[in-house]
Amino acid sequence: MSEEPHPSRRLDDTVHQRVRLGILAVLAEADRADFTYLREQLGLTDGNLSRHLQVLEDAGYLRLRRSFEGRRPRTWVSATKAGRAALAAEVAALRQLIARLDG
Amino acid sequence: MRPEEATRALREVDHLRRRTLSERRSTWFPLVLFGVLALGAAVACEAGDDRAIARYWMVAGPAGGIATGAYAYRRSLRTGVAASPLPYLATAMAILVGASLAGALTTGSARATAPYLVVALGYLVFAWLDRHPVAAVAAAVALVAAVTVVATGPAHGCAILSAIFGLAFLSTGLALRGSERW
Repeated sequence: MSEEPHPSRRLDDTVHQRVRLGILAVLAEADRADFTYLREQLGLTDGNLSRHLQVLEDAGYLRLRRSFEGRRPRTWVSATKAGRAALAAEVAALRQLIARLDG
Repeated sequence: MRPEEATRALREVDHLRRRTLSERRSTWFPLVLFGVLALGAAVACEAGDDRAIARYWMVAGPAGGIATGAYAYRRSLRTGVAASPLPYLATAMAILVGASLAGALTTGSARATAPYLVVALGYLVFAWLDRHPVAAVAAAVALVAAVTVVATGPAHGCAILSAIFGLAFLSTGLALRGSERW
């Protein structure tokens, strides 16, 4: 008889990390957000945010687009379809985990 | 993972989503702009015939849409967060086409008032896109007024309906202006 796997096994290590979960949460409500906006919303340093963006981009969850406004470089970040799906799956797994532990 | 950690993570996700939603939407601007334009339409209704009000909206509608798009774009550059313009653009186009057809396919006083039904429905869609209950209430008020005026066909129906739309949108937009980031 096969038992349903524990919800914690459905947590995606790439998304589950607190900062990366925050990045995807912000991008779930926007078509795009720029680097500065994400840094301020999440209270991170440039280096820290860059590292997490790289991890999510490598996983195919984000798309980065660099542009110039006058002479100022600007990086816009968008969630991919896979990124939005990964966030939805993570939230569902967290809810299931809470329900299981509460029940 | 402990339950309190999962609860905290969900709470943080929810908080970030709500904050981003409130910062990326600029619901007040089109409400104020189209509120003012609707009040102008009330004057046009009284000053001219059905064609005058149709001509007024053929100019004011697209101009208001372009101004709203330009405002949203500039605001996104300033705040660093943006919504996708496509659903808004599609809704605006649907309002323009739908309102034109509603005016063309009706007769009598409904020629000037039936397009407002389409506009009110369009505003319900905008409120849904912004997930903004206050804007949805303003659109619902406008829709009830439009249904009532189109169904009963009172004298000066076009001016009455334009004034109701104008006051509902303008007052809601001005009230929201204080709570939204410009």
